[in-house]
Amino acid sequence: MAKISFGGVVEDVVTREEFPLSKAQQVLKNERVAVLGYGVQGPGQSLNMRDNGIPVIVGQRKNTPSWDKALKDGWVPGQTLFPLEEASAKGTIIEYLLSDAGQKEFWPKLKPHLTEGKTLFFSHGFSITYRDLSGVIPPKNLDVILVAPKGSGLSLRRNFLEGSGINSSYAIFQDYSGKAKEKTLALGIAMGSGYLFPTTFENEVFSDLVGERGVLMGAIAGIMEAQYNELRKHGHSPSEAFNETVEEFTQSLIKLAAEKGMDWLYANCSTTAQRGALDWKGKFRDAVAPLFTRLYQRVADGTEAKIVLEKNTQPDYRQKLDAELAQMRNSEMWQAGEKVRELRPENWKKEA
Amino acid sequence: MSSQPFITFDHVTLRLPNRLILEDSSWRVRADEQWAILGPNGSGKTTLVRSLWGGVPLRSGKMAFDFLGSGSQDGDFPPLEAIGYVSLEMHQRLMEQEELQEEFRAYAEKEGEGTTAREVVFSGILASRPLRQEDERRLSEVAQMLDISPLLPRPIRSLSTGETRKIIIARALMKSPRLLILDEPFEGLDEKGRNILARSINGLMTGPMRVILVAHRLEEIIPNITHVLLVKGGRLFLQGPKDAVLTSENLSQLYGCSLRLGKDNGTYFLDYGEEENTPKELPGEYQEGPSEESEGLIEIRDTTVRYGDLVVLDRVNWAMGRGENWAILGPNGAGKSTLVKLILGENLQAYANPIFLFGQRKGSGESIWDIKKRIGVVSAELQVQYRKRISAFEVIASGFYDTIGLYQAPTSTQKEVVSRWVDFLDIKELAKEPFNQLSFGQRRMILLARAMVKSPVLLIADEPCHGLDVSNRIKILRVLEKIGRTNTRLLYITDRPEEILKCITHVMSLDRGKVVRQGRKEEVL
Repeated sequence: MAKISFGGVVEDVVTREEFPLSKAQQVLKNERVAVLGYGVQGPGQSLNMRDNGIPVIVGQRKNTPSWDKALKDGWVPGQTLFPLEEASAKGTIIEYLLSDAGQKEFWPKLKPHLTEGKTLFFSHGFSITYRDLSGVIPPKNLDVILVAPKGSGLSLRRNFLEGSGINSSYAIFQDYSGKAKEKTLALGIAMGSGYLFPTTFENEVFSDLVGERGVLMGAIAGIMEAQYNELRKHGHSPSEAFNETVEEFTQSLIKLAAEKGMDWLYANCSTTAQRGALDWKGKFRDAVAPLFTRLYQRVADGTEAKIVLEKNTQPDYRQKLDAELAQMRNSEMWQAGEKVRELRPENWKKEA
Repeated sequence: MSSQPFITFDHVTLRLPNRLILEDSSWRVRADEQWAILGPNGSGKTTLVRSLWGGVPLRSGKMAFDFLGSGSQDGDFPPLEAIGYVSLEMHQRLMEQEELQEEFRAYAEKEGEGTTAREVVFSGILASRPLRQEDERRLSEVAQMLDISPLLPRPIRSLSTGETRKIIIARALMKSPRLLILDEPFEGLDEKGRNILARSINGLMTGPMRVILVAHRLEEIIPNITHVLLVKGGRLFLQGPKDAVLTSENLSQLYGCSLRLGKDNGTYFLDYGEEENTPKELPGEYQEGPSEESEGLIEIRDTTVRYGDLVVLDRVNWAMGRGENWAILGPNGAGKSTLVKLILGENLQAYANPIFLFGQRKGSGESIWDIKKRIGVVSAELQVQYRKRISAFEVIASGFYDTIGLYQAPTSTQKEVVSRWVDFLDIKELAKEPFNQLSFGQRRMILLARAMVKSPVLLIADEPCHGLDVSNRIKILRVLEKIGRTNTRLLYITDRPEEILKCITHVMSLDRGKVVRQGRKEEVL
């Protein structure tokens, strides 16, 4: 395992040079991987493993668009494509890739097939971490493991076909066979990971839930709204407020930050921007720090998960959700955004 | 009216991202003239025609679009509805857009097949105005003219290269444009498609539409073309009435090789002459690889590929044995590309059929990398997929790993092999350039080198001449001829029977997914 220092903290990382495909094939040669759910992560993982010479079958509900997609992708009913329960019975490694809600629902039907020595695999820590809510409590006599590719199923597949890879985290919840780690890494490499870094089921789901509620989606949209509203309050036009809040960020700064890091951005901007950004960064950090503390607490104690599962079972949730989304869509800021995007040069100078 | 100016270039210089091109060019198109543009790959033809709709920045000089009439201002480009545009690059751009759409769909977890061919055909009009009622009628005219009605409901990504080209042509014709720019419109079309297109364009030229046709083959200079412009090395080389410009001498000079121009029944053709006296030797084999051939290279048994109701390959049986070089012939939509993709593992239905590659059944524990290791590929398809900002040298080196992009540092031996191929193909000056800034034809030569560096057991050349100028075509065909006589076996896909190489021993002819004939070359042809 390669020890890599991330900003002074050393982490163990497994690369495909250290754990080559041939080793993964060796580890998995007597297994049969059953990928349950041909929805988001299912196609990428199953297709990559099949292309890497791993014995794979797919489990999917019949008469669904996903079943038809599986047919087009060369899965053969009765040979490599089965209804969910049949695939669960046939697989020795069960990749449980249904949605969080789908996992809770199917669990009573899956459980009888989880016989001694099998492996239960996840790509998300939700059901296991919040097992009191989901009911997903696996028997003790099997391995329970996780590999979470850090990208969409589509990018997992695309990167694989180009010969690059995607980074993934891995975790072991239960090691009954004593070989859980080897199996986990083998599956990670076989599905197209370039390198794997260790985590736990809890950490995977906590960081995921905090991230999407925080900087990735919740916090960013909230901060944007606050700044936009303040600019508008002082008489700035919608287009000016949007450009200074969102457009410049998404169209140029974030791309530079992606390549060079935010530190480089700070080091290379105008002196006016630089002084101000340095002075205000700390104030913003301190202002939102208590919110993050509360957010993490609520993720860790299961409050956030409980809300998700409860809301999703309320009959009128869909309706309420649509109204919420419409409110955001129809807000002045995002309406202004639509116009600003239309006015981007590449969109008005249409090509012949 | 007849001698009115139509388009005037007055000492024009254009700017590419990294250099100036077509410096100080003057060119005069009059209203009664129809022009063809000829020139080697990378000479600036595409840049020139792109500048006609403002696709390339003007550095200095003046472009006048006299046909816009008195209402237009100096420096105005023709409005989009006045220009129809077809180019090889458009195929690539279309695929880029589709990939982006696919990302949106994947993010939103929406199933779907993507943009249909019909939507693409309409998109040309929609770029400049809302749809009108008469557009539907126009669509059926165009669809009938180009024989594409069955393609319209299909997702654009499911079409073959030739079929996509027809859709892009239909998109341009939908506008009934005043100026129709056709940048290599015949490439990728089968014989029937080429004849239909030639007839259609020739007919359109008798109406108000003016055509600028960029061509690579002399037989594409259709009868109603009156004038020819030759472009060489980023400069206008010669212009004038076609009979004055098109001479053996001028063309030999243009392409830098000895050519003889002939004319048969009003159609021009080029004679390549004899093989050069001192042919260079192929670079030696990189590894022992190609001698480990198994009994059969490829065997495809009773194989069917279908998408819903659409059957693309219909119970195909075919085997390619040791020591055989095959050509696969067939019109657009015959299933040629699908067959290649089954072999390469890019068509996933390979797993649902009895297919044997190098003696091993597909899906019996091999990885696609085991298969790719033994196969080199050069194809228009790969070229569309290969969009990486790396140098041409690195693209060639990626052939050792069968990757798109380079993710490992090549060894010094590998670099040496790359250099030998670069020398052999005379592409030294291209090797340092960013791959994505090379011309269409130049990229093809780079991909041929990429396919060959590992000395593959099998080289798949899928329409390798597609988009190439005559000198590159001669070059690539001669190289393939040589490769066919080494330990590397050749699978050559074309729709032009006249380009079947001498080293080919067997031919299979496909049509609409079915094998029409197969066997020894002399028996089939």
